[in-house]
Amino acid sequence: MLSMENIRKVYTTDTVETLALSGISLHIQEGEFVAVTGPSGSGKSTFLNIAGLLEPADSGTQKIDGNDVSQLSDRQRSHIRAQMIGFIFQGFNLLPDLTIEENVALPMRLRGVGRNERKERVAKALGTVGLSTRNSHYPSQLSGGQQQRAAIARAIAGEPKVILADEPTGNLDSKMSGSIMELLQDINNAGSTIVMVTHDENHANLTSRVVQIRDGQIQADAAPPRLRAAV
Amino acid sequence: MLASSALHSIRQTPFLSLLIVALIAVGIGITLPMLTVYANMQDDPIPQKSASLFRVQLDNWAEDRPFREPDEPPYAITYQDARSLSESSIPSRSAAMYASRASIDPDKQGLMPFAATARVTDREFFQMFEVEFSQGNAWSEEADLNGHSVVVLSQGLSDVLFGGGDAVGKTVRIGDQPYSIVGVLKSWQPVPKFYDMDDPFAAVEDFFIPFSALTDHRLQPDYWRSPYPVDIELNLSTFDAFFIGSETVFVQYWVELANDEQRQEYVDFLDSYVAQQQQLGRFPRPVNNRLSDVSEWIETRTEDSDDAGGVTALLVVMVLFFIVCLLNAMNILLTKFLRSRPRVAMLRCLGASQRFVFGQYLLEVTLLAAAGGVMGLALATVGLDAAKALFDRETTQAAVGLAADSTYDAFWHLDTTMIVTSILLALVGGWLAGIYPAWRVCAVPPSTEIKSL
Repeated sequence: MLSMENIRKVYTTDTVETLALSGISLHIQEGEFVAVTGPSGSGKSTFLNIAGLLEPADSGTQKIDGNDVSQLSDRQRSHIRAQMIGFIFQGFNLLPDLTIEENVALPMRLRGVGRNERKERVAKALGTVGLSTRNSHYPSQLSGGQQQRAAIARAIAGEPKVILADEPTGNLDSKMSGSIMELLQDINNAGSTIVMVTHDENHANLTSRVVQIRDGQIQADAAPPRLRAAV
Repeated sequence: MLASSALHSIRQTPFLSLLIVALIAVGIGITLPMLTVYANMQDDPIPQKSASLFRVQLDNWAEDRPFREPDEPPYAITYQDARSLSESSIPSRSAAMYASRASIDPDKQGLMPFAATARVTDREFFQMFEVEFSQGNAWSEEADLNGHSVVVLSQGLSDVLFGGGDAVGKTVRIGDQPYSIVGVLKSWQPVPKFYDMDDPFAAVEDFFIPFSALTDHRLQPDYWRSPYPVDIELNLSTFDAFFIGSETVFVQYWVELANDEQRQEYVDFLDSYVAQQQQLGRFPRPVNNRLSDVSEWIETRTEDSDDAGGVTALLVVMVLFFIVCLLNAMNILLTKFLRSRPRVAMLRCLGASQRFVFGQYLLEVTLLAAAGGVMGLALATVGLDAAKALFDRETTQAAVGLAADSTYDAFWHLDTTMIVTSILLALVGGWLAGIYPAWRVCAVPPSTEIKSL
């Protein structure tokens, strides 16, 4: 589903050169729920940005659903983002002036999905996250947990091939965090591939695979302790 | 999606959006009146004949300096030269003329004497410049030769004096003399007034009398220049010494030449005439005759005319002002667009391409610019009235409370071309101001902005 081979990324300013990713190789299968962990500055966010085609790698090969996406134009990358990738952010990133329904429909509007199909998919996604009755609310009228649920609905409504989540519980209390993790697990169980960057070892333990990044390199790539213990 | 995003962006920052519209509107509103006047000035006022009508210049100026640097001969010629040139049979037509003014004493109850503008000229003026008559015709050849007291009225003056009724055959008192009316012109207003570029925006004269009557009626020219210091006081008794038998230039002389051969023949004739005069002790400067067709003459005088030069200078200032407005609009657009970077980053994450974002902002700029263009048109209408007030001369009709000549009035109004031009100008200006800010915002990498939404 998502494949990276020897990905390298360096950030250069006038005086400093920072190696963010140093030859990372990773292959994620369809249906996996992968947690990417590591300390601050380890390269997790850069990994997620490159995986989500938000910025290009300096070198290496990247494939999504078997297609090489390493050398695509901005327009082609945008097209793939719209068609195949769903994003969930730590800060929810809902547009404050749009209703929840409009926020969830936004990626599909960008893709040119017809109005009726859009409505159906929005209703289904909001139903999945338990916000069917809040569709006409604005983000500011919802709690943090509800906003993140709306953001998840936005990510899944377009039925992407892979969902990339950047610290999705980072702004939530433990109770809310737990319910969001349950929701992500449900979505994964329904067949979606999820790659989640997290600091929280407990949340990482709820996934099917944990990739540890340190100093721009993969330090470990294994099943979480929960699953290893089960074996 | 593109349109709704653009409209949304406008609604999000109503004050800045309004400011941009206002800047473009003010830029258009200020520039367009001058552009209209300038464009109208570039029009050929007599396209069917402009290449065959020629203004004559002879250089009788003083030996030690040209009339105007670097080597421009006087714009007008002397009375004696005009009379000599009129004897040439080379031109198909010719007319000597000058502008003057005189008091009209209307024989009409409730109407006080008033000043009117005059053109003292030959009968061929009317045929040469294709002036049409609503009543009567030009005076006879005999009137030209003998200086009869006959007059052709403008439509406006005829309306003032006779209320639109028959005027031919009636008499009008000009100064202290009665003139017999032989014709009334149809409404006519060449712009610029090419035959007399001393005032290119002036209305056509109120009445026309024979040039040959000059010696009898002594209507003083509005424009005259002398190559030598004038040490006599100008009055009726010195009129002849001042204008008739002197080197004072005041006669505007036009000829109609049918083709290049005729033109060359006339050039040779002028050279020969001046050489002959030099032998008689006149024309101390080297031969420097000019024949300028209508376009050349307008160009020559536009460079020099206070009004025409003023229009060009004002147009340049207005265009610079418009550019300043656009630069300010660009600055505001940059602020407005860059403020929305997090939102753009979010849209980019969700699949919007740079092209989409660029298109959205360009559409927004187009909508703002179009609104600015429409508002600018309204301002331009007001601006044209102001420009008219600046350059307008009081016409006889206006002085006695009648409407100004409709053709002349039309000069100061926006036509379809200028309306389309203003909208295009607003759009192009808006795009010029908006391209850089739109490019800047869509070039921002989404990954650097996404956390700040």
